[in-house]
Amino acid sequence: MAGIATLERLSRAEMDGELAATLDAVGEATVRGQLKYPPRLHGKLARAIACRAYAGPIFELTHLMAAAQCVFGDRGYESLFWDQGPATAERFRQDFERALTNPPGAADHIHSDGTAIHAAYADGAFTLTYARMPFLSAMLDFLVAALGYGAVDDALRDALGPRLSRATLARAANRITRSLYAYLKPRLPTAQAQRKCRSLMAFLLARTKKGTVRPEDLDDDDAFDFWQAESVKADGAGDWKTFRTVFRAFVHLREALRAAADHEALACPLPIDPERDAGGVDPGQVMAACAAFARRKDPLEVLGSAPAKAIKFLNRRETDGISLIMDSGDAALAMPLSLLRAEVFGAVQAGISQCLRRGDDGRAAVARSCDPDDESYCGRVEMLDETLAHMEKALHAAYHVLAKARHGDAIALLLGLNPNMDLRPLAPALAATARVRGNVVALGAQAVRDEFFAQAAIAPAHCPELGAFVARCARAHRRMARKGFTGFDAGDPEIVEGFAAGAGALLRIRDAVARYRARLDRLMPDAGDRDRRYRADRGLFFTQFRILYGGTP
Amino acid sequence: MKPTARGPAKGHGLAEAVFVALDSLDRMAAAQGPKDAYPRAGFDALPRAGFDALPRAGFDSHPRAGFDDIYRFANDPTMTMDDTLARSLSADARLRADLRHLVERAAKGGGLLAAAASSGTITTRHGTSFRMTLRQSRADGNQIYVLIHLAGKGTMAPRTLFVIDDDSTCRKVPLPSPLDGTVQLLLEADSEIVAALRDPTTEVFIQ
Repeated sequence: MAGIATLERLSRAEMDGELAATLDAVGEATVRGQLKYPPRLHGKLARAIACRAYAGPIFELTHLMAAAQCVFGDRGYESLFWDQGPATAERFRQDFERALTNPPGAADHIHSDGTAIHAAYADGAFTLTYARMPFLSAMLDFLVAALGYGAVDDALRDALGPRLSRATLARAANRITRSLYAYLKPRLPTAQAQRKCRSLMAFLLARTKKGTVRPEDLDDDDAFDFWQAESVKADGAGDWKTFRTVFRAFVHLREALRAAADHEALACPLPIDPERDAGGVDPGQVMAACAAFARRKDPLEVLGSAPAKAIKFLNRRETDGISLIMDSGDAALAMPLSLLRAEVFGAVQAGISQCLRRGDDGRAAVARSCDPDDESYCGRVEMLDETLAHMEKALHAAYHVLAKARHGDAIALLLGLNPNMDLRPLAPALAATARVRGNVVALGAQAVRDEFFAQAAIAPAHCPELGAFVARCARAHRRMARKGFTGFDAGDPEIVEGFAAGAGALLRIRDAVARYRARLDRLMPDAGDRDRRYRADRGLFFTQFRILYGGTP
Repeated sequence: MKPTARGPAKGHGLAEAVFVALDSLDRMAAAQGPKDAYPRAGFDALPRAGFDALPRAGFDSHPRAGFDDIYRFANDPTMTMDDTLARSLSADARLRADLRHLVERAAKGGGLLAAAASSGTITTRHGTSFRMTLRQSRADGNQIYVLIHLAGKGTMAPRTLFVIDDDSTCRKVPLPSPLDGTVQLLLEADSEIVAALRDPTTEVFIQ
């Protein structure tokens, strides 16, 4: 039986891989050498699928396909989605408006107002904005990759014809939605995730004895005790073997409980029905919660995408070292020790898994991973301090670049780095070029910005704090020897935009890491505390590893 | 408020749905491989013995053709079949079926219907806008003329001939301009395309 369970797991992993690959293929599609969709659309599509929030978009999509079929006539709706360049709102607008000036098809019921198309059917109207169309196009690419063009096209063709209406399109949309639900059923491991959620909730409810669990109830002791109790159960409700998995699940549960509280779901209970698409829960609410969760990762994604990608703000080691902090959001502050444990002992456990994969027996694998030179809590904190110092330097260097290019974001960066800087000595000069409301000077206006940069250049004379900051930034820039910083050309607008986008993201990352670092300081104020805690945790974790992999404590 | 095996505790429906969605996103990220900064949680949880040996969809080292590619192949007369497209079509029955569907959709007059000769092979096919005839060359018995007759003066000149066999393998032949309402191709009598055109189980579409 154990063999069958293993095979089932492997097959499920295979299915997840297929779904991920299908979504990836949409995200990586290129048209004439350019990405067909902007990278963020890929995440939005993945969330719509994972949250099962696809019924609404599919309904919109059938309207878009039907409108395109009417407007483009013989060229077919396909030409709108696959004949043209990258999928942007502007491109969709141009295609529709060009075709609507002399539509080859029967398109009397469709018109454009420059921001949307409006379709008037006998049983009602439908409006679709151009801004929405790139996402719907990505959804269509996913549907075609997942279900096949034939399945999607057949459903639409049945709705087209002289009796085209909202009702016939709704039937077509339902048909496609049902097919997608069937496709996803074995590929989204809903039942397993539900069991994991329920097993976590049962554990926490038993501990709180309050009859309910709030996001703020989850703490470091809960995460460690849960792992200790559940990781050894071969037939448990979830796969809780690694501490990282447990920590990750606690982060998700915190997020999920907060979403429920935010939407006051506790006041109107609606159980989820695993047999029905989205059950009694509004997929829009699930989608909104997941979007909020994804936004936390945004700054790192901004650094990894154009235009910021042209500048090496963070290297791979630095990114890896802070990505779990960014991923965890508020949970990093609520469960700081668990995050530290997940980083330090999670790496050890990954090493044990690696040894097991190479064929070592469990006891040998644990012994081999018990290296006294492994990263300790002190080592981890040092790494964070180094990364924070680097980010500080990179942000100062970025200010130098942006100020040299007279980019407005330089001022936001200055204020972000120095919220309390005394800029009062600049007030008279700035006020002379700006309309002053009360005692507030609007720094966004172009003339004021130009005056600000002119003043900053002579700052040491009359605004010492700003002068010192500008000098610090120039020094930081001279010392940065990374791609994008060296050989910087102030006249290259792409590089300047890269600095503007990257600096804003890096500032958010620095703030999140600094908050977590300060939280660790409150938990373990000095190196001695960190060392004592590390040695105690090392004993606990290695005892558990020996039980898990070696069969004995 | 205790969760049961049948369903979540009263009031925790949304929380559970969000948890399930986040867990699914994590699994998808893990399945994407090293691109994700924190993909290990899902994989570490899996028993790895034997896992690496399994073929995994989407992790083929060769690039894969997608729907964009077959759409262009079906609609752009100048696009030929490259290795990536050929390999992808050969490996993916659904992609072949989609290509067939696209070709059928793009051939406005539908496919050409076969009229079997006494030998059981095809010499003539008829469509609403075209008629196709295979005729042996008088000058060289090893060569075959493929003649495509346009139905009338209003018929647009065809640009591409698609021949699709019963397992949806697709062959594409660019067509020369018509002369006096007829497109003429000269092919080797023992070529794959002539064999396919003679085969009563193949479908022929003209764009």
